[in-house]
Amino acid sequence: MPDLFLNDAARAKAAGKYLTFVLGGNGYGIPILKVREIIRLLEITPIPRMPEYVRGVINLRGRIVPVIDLRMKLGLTNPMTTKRTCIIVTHVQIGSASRLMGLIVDALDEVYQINAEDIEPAPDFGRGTSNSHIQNMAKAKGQVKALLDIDRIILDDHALLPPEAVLAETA
Amino acid sequence: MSTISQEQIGEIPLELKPEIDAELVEEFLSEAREQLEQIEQGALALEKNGENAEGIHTLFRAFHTLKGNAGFLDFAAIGSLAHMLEFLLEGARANRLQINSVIIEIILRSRDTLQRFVDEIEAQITGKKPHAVIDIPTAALKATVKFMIEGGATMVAKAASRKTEATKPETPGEEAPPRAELAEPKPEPAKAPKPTRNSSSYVSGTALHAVKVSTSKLDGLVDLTGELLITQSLILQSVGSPNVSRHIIARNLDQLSRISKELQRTAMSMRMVPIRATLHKMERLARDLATREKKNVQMVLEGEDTEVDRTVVEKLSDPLAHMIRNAVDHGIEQPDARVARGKPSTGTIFVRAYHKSGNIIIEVSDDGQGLNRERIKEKAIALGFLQPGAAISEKDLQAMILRPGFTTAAQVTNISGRGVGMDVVYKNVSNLRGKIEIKSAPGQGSTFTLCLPLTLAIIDGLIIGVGGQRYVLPTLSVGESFHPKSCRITSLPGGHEVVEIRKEMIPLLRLRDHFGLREMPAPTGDGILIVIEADGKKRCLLADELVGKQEVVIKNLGEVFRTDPMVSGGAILGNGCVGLILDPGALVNLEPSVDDLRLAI
Repeated sequence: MPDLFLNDAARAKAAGKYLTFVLGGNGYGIPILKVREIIRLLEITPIPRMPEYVRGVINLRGRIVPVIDLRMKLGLTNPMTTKRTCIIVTHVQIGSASRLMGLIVDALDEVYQINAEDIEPAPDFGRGTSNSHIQNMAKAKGQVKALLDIDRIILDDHALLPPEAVLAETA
Repeated sequence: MSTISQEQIGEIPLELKPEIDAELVEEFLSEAREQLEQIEQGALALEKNGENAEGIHTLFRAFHTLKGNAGFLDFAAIGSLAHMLEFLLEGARANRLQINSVIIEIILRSRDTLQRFVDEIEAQITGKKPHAVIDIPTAALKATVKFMIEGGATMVAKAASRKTEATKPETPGEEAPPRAELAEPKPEPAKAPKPTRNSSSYVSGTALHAVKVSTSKLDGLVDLTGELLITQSLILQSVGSPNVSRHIIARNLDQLSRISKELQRTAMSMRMVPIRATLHKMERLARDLATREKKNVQMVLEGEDTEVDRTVVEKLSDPLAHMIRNAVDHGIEQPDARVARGKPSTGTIFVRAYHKSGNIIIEVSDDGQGLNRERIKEKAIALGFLQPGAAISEKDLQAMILRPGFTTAAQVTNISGRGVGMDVVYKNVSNLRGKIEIKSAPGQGSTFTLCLPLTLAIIDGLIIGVGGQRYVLPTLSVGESFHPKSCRITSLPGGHEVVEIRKEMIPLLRLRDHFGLREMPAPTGDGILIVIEADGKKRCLLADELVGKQEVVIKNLGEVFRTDPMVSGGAILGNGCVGLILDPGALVNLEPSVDDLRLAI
């Protein structure tokens, strides 16, 4: 269960630059250090027998990178693909290794400096709701952004992970 | 020269402190492996030629560097053992001590002990093993070394020349009254199962994370990248300005393609490593086995500089070790038997590596007794591979030994003859997409020839279209393809279907359905049936179309998700998109298998 109040150390740790983007009309952010690059939506090769939100793999200049649809993963149905839809290529931590993964988002916003005093803990919507991938909330320019824990989003789905990652996770 | 203090003699456990810098440790490990390799090669060279001052010096240097590096990381257990060996070699350098088989054996044993430390540290630092105190006994070894240094050596040298079987370092302890510290560690050499080294210890040394690339290759790469940038800016300029002739653009583009090809060739060559280290490990193996079997074996290596992809090299150790074992255990006879047959008492194992039309060929030949025709036949009949009295060609008979569970060793030794022999070699080699050939003449010896692709990174792929997507099948496993109308498809109870091809029933797999692409636009034609074969099983795949053939570079799928086993990787296709590579092994093993269906029919 998330804490209702964050201590100063946790706030200070969470403060920093965030890349913000839009999913289904709402604002989200991920730490800028997790972002490798942003690319336009290019052709994705689907992988058979994978959950719907795993859209497939792309060719990132000779490197194969898996892509998930962040909108579907977070439960937003019928995502629309527009001119502004793009892929954020991020570094994710799988077990002890860092891997690349693409996230499809509706549109990019901008890079914000989020200060310690603007950070609030993720709200607790009561038992049964899962928002473990929302690390914190932040106020930025009068709006509230959900700061996502990208590693957590991937680790959610144990069945999909390589065995060594599950091992490292439970250890 | 320093002296040996008492505490250095005792057992020193080694513990990786949690705050230790993993990067430094990894660097230490990679260097230590190199030094251990040098020590092994140096010791073997010294064994052949004891009066080699340069050889002693090389060994000394290797132990010295190892000691220094270990001291830096506070690995006292490694440092003290290396120190003792350095001390011993110092004696040999100053001619106070003569190199003999006993000393060589001690050096090799110490090397193996150090190797165990290195392996253990690596396992812990990479998280393959939980953090624990590494407690590998070294005291006995160190005591023996100390004994040798302190004057025991000359005595032992005499003893060794008198006794024929004085290869064990424990023997000096029996000959001369042992000192206090020698008596205590006695049990160690007895219980330490050193000689029963399994094949894995020959493989472990190759799993290096860092890569050493020759500076010339690196310089070449940097030069090419510079050229690439220049050409790119030339092209940009010529496209930007209106009055540049097509001729110049064409010339620049030509230059670009030349550079890209050269760049690819250089990059690929960086994956290649000489096969030398692997072959030298085999030399050591042959020596150890021969010593234990009391056979005289010399090994001749040729083509140590032959380069092969590092992934292939790593997987080569196992099959080669098996072949060397076979040669020593089954091939080479006992010295008296050899003399009786008019052969030199020392058997020769000849290992030759060379390139031939995009493959690496490794020949392992021995001048031993050759394959025993009668015994193979007997065994094949006993195992039910062959009908009694059936005629069989020489070639087919020799191929019998590649079958699983086949061994002709009358007696199971701890070296070979456990029934895991050539069939393991065959399996390993098949996994590397290679072939194996056997030639044997009774009484004259056998030659095993391995033919392996130079790299595992590239395969010849057949590109098929299914539901608008492109997939790659390894061409090697594709048997044939034909139009669905030309054969009969029969439905079986349970929803399975079989295709009848030349009186053979092959289970059908409709790829569109299996991949969940049923809703995709239907193919224009009837599709195409492709028969694939793997693990001795066949399966017929129904795809929408055959797109073409292409050599593809195998890549992993980002290692984020665990994908279905039937997808073994990805490849960038000609159109820049990713094509998934299908694993024939997983496809043929999808239920139901051929055997189930045979029963059903």
